[in-house]
Amino acid sequence: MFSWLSDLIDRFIDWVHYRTGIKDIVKEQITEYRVPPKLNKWYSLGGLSLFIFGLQLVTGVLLLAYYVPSTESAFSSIQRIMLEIPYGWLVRLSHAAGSHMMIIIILLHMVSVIFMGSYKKPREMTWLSGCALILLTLAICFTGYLLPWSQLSYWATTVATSIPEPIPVIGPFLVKLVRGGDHINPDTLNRFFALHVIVIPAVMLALVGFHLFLVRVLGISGSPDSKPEDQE
Amino acid sequence: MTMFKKPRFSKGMRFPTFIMEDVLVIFIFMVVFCVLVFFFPHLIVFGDAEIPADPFNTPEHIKPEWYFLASYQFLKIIPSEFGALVLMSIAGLLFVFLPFVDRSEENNIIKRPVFLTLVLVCIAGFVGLTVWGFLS
Repeated sequence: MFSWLSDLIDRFIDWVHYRTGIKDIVKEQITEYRVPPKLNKWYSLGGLSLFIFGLQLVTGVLLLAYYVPSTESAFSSIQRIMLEIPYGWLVRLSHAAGSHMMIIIILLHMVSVIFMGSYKKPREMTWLSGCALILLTLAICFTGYLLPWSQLSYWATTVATSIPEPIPVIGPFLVKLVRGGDHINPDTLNRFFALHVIVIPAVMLALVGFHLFLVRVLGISGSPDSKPEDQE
Repeated sequence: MTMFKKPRFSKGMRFPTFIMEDVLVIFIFMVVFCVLVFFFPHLIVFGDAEIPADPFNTPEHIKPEWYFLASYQFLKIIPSEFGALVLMSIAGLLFVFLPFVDRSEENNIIKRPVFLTLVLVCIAGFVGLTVWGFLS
């Protein structure tokens, strides 16, 4: 009865396949793809951090709909999100809790990579992109911390941005560059906002893509308990 | 030079199974996450985070988030701030270039007691400095 429908779907898939080779990609990457047997739960931490990254993107975009990046209105817009906007509290708390969870999970992911020796040849580039991702995660947490313009964010950022000060010659310049002035001021909020919502997430997305590409190209590294006889 | 040949696992996990392994871990994570968000919101946002910023009123105890506490405490205990920054940069560079520093072919960390001890000392150092930062 619905054979015309499956015919239509087949013709559509053929149409796409002719232009992209999608059937071969699905075969190679999904249906005939095999992962080493007996992997432990530590191997899921990379996928989990990707999931949290997605969660942060979704909650972050929802927060953007109501957050106002100005020193006068930032704190009151957060109060409005927490108290007036339906489920705003859920989105805001998830975004804040997600940042802590992200750090915990990527640190565990990194520790498991060290313990299983998965950073070794030929996976050096995967490790390097992972290191860049950790640094960017810390940077995105740091810039996001100032955005609520609370007493905590203001003073914690004041202390943290003064850390490069003792570096000879360039130290004071670095501090001024990060703050956009001698002290934390409205311009600091603006540059942190730009970094937090577009620059760092965009670079992270590209790096996540590269990281996953390498994982697929090189295959998943065997754990110490998956012996070579599991392989062909 | 030809490209590294990726190992094939003919008896490995198939398509939905390896995805479901990750999904299981994501569900376990979501349980912890939801308990935190729904029942302990004051562990996430509390204290000075609930007061608007006041540039003329410095709070008594300024501490960074827990993930920066270890490096913050390290900066505090080393007398020369610049020296501490140099030490931290060296540690960071060694860490980033780990695959090029550690060129041993042996994958099993149990068979490498020196490296295992080093890793454990680093982890203990990070945790110890974080706890110290919390308490001080």
